[in-house]
This record gives sequence, structure tokens and C-alpha cells, in this order.
Amino acid sequence: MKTILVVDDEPDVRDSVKIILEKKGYRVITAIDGEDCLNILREEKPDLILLDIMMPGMPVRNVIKEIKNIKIAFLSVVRTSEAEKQNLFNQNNIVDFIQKPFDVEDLIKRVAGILYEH
Amino acid sequence: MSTDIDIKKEGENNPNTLLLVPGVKYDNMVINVVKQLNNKKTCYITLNKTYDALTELLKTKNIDTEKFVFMDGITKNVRNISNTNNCYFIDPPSNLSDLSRNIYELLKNRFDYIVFDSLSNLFAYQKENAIEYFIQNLINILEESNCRGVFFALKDFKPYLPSPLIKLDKLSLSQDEKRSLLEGSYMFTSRMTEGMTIFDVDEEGNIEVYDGYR
Repeated sequence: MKTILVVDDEPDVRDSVKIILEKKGYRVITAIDGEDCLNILREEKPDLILLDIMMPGMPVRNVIKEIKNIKIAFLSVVRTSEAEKQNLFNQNNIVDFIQKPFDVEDLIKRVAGILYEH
Repeated sequence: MSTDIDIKKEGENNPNTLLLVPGVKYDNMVINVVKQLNNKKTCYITLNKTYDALTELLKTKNIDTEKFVFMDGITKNVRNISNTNNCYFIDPPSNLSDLSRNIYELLKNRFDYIVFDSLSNLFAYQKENAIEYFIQNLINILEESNCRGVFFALKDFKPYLPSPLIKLDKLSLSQDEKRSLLEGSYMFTSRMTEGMTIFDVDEEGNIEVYDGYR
């Protein structure tokens, strides 16, 4: 069973994504911020991390530097330019950029794409 | 009911304006406001789009972005970047005192307007009480600086939630699971809108105008 770590400070988002992805047969664990995420990674090695960009605490740029060999997809309500996205994809295992608000089916499709096709 | 906003005229009546805008009209309203402020000394504070994404959007409408000064509170969160001629890249607003201080320093350059995009994004970092305090403090800073404020906020109910509900039905969720997905929302408290004129835009572009709490 593939494991996904959802990192988001908003409990509603964590719970929503967890419910949706568990329904699809994934094991889902959650973290409330970047620091919590890094603590969890000492014990767990998920197949994918869905990482919110806007969270209190440790800046995301520092969090992703610490994560090795695990695919990361950003979840973000903020908008970035195409050039910035391409720049991000070239570093630190970042494989996707999922814009909030997201469509449930699109999220499921993209997660499956990352886990089974990349 | 009106379908347009004369932001400069409104600024004469009340220096602080809150635009509550649904997602589908958001970019259009940003462009509308920025076009109107093209000949005013304006500082655009963005917590919603990166500087790159925002200027990319404005340039599609032939808006000269060099006329504006930007403060970007997003980009530095994901990568290292240095200030440019017309953009200050600041840390994400986890600490609203720092954000206030940055704005205060910038306003020493005497701006006619600040555009704050958006109050909704502050909810990603802070709780209601801190946001209330920040907004009231910012309004005081604007008053001292003789600067007008145009505040944006996203009107949509829980913007990050999946919709419409029919798509959730396909996943065969229980009523409790659906409820847990749909209930709750960020709310603007009355103190957050104190002294502002509110322009409440609907999805068709109709605008209702009312006063915030006084």
C-alpha cells in the first residue's frame, strides 16, 4: 500500500485530503507544519508528500532541503508563474504543483499519476 | 446595484475599502483596480500571487508594472531571492508584527494607495484575534501616512474545498464525512472590517456596497 504524507496547517484541508485519498486505498498520514513533517520522516518513508506552501513556522524552502529521495507535490492557494513552477520542478524532488481550490477527481488522478507513472 | 467600482472616487469618501470578491471574478477585479491606480503612487502587497505571477497577469493587460512598488510575501517562502528595483521580497507573514513593520517602513516613501492582496491569505498563518489587531493597526498606519487602502479578500466559502458536491457523491462518502468536508469557514469578524467601505461582488459581477462595523 502506498503511503502519502499530507502536510498542511489547516485541519480541514488535512482531513479532507486524508478522507479522499484513504477512500482510494492509500495509507495517509498527516503533519501540521514543516517541523512536524521532518519529525515524522524520522520514522516514516512515505511514497509522496503533499506539502502546503503557506504554513506558519519553518519556511518551506528549508523544509524541502531536508527531504531526500521522496517525491513532493506542492499544494497551494497562492499562484506562481509557469517559469517559477518549472524552476521548482528542477529541484528537490518536486514533481507537481496542485492549485487550491482543487477538484477531487483531479487530485486523485494527479496523485495516482505521480505514484504510478513518474 | 452597480457593476463597477470607481476606486479613486470611493477613496475620497472613505480611505479604506474592502473588496470581497469571488474566485471567478478575482483576477478581473485586481486588473480593474490596478488600471485605475496606474497614475497614483501605489504599493501592491501580495500574499496571494508571487511577484512573477502577478506581473505576468498585469502585463497581459498592458499594465506598466514599473509604475508600482510591490511587496511579495510568498516567493521567499519557496526560494531565495533578492529585492529588485520595484519589488521587496519579505518573509511570509507568520509574524504579523514583522509585516506591519515592513509596511510601515515602506510607507515612509509616501504612497497614495496600498493594495493589500489579500486578507484571506492571512488566515493561513494567523488566528482571528491577531488578524483583527493587524488590520486595525495597519489602518492606523495608513491614516498617519495619509495613504488609502484597498483590501482584497476572497469571498468563496472555503476556497480550498472541492466543489460542487456532486463530485463528492461519486466517492460514496457518508453524511458525516461530507459534513466534515463542508462545514466551517474562515469568517471576517466585525472588528476586521471596522471603518471600511465594503464592496461585495457576486459571481455575476454585481456589487453591493455597505459599511463595515463602526
